[in-house]
Amino acid sequence: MKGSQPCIVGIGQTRYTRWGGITDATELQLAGEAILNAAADAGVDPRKIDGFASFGDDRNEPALLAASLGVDEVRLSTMLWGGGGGGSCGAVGLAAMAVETGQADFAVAFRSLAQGQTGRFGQYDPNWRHASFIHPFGAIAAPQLLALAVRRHMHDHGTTQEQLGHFALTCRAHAQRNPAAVMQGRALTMADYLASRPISDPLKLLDCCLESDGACAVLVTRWERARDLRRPAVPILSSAHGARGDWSSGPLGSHNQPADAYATTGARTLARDLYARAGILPSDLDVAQIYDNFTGMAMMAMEDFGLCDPGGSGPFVESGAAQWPHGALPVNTHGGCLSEAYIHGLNHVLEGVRQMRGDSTCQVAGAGLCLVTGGPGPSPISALILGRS
Amino acid sequence: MISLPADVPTPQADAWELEFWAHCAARRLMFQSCAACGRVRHPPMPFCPACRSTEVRWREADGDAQLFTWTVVHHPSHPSLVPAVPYIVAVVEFPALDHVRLLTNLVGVPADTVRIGMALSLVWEEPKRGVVLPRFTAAGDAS
Ligand SMILES: [Zn+2]
Repeated sequence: MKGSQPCIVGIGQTRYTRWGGITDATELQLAGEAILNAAADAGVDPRKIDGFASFGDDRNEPALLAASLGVDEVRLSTMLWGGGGGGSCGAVGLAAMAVETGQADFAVAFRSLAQGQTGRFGQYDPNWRHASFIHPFGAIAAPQLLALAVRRHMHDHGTTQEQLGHFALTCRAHAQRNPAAVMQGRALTMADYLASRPISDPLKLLDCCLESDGACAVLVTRWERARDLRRPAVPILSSAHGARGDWSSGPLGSHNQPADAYATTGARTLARDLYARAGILPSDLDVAQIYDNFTGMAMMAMEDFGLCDPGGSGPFVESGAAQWPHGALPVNTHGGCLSEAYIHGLNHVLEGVRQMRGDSTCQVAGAGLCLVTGGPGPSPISALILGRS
Repeated sequence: MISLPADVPTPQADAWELEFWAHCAARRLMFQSCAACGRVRHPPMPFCPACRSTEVRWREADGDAQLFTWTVVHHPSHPSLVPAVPYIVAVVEFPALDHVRLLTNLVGVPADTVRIGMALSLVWEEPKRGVVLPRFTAAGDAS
């Protein structure tokens, strides 16, 4: 590997709880705890962390984090545009760009949530993009807006309610092996899924991700610094954030995304470029962590990123192809946003790193390539290809 | 199904969106189109994405309106919507206007009769003074 190759060298997290479950620490404290855990995991002195990246209108300012953590110097202080979880992988990508170009040495991407103290994510927001065109019609939150896209996917491709359920069940089954998962110990059957209450049809309660408190952090540096650290470096083979230029507010806004991509995540071209830069094909992947704000949206992302054919995600999940250990391409081996925790998808990056290190609780034997994606619906969305050193 | 209560949020539109709502106040559903090349666009935006012109001609949606997709909302995500559930949020497409789409509600349409592609008619509702909203019902049912 080139000396400048960006690698993930440390991952850190706090406890995960239901939203409002963490009352004895502030978001800033949780962010710091996750960052310190990532530094300890890597064996890096926290004073050497000089870059901070987040996404989704994060409230925890690098200037305050840096001062409290006692870092020597801040060389990167950045956040990806977009109010949703689309930037999870993109924040890691910003950190990677900074270390690859030498602007920072140890850049950390982080996300921290203590929503009992700060308010729940995705609730009524008068500053939502194109709010005047959606709120008066009772489309206030993501489930109502994205249910419209999922319904259209069912119409176009014959996707069934049970197929959405298979995605939810797959995540829940994986979470049963993960001690950090909020839903460990709460196994799920298709009957449970079908009986769960409707939120905005076709989305049921169990199609919607959890709402969680907790924090995650991912520490990134160059290969020349990474190779001598405590844990095996996980190279970021490529990263991408963005969307088609005509996506606008998409399904989280006025629903005027392009007709030929309506029931998609708008990421087909982004995915093509992501794989090309990594020099791989989707068929080379061993495992994937797909941002699952809602079952149907994650399934559209699986199509856009080539895990299955366009429109083919329903039969794909129904066949068991996404299930560990026997599926051809296990998805969300930690339980995802649906069943591990909703740390806005940065927890998916942590799971991708575990898979590449070989220590996931649903470890894919010999896994060497992992796709991680960020929130479908908004622009930008984002993605990473992780490899092994 | 009932129409939505008066206290559902009606956020202030951005400056370049205000004219859309001014037309609605006059009970005319008008979309922004480019005065130079004719391209229809929604929501309103400052430049034509096809030719970058800032000259605008407003065009009335007086023809075909078709249901593009829909959902029955069961869980109210704002206190004002508690008495309103279940209600239908819909995306309506206007084939004669470059297939531009409008997010709206279906009113007076039983959920078991809703079909993607069904023809729709515009109905105006004024939930509170000065707020005039375009909603849709099954074609032929407008009154
Ligand atoms: Zn034009």
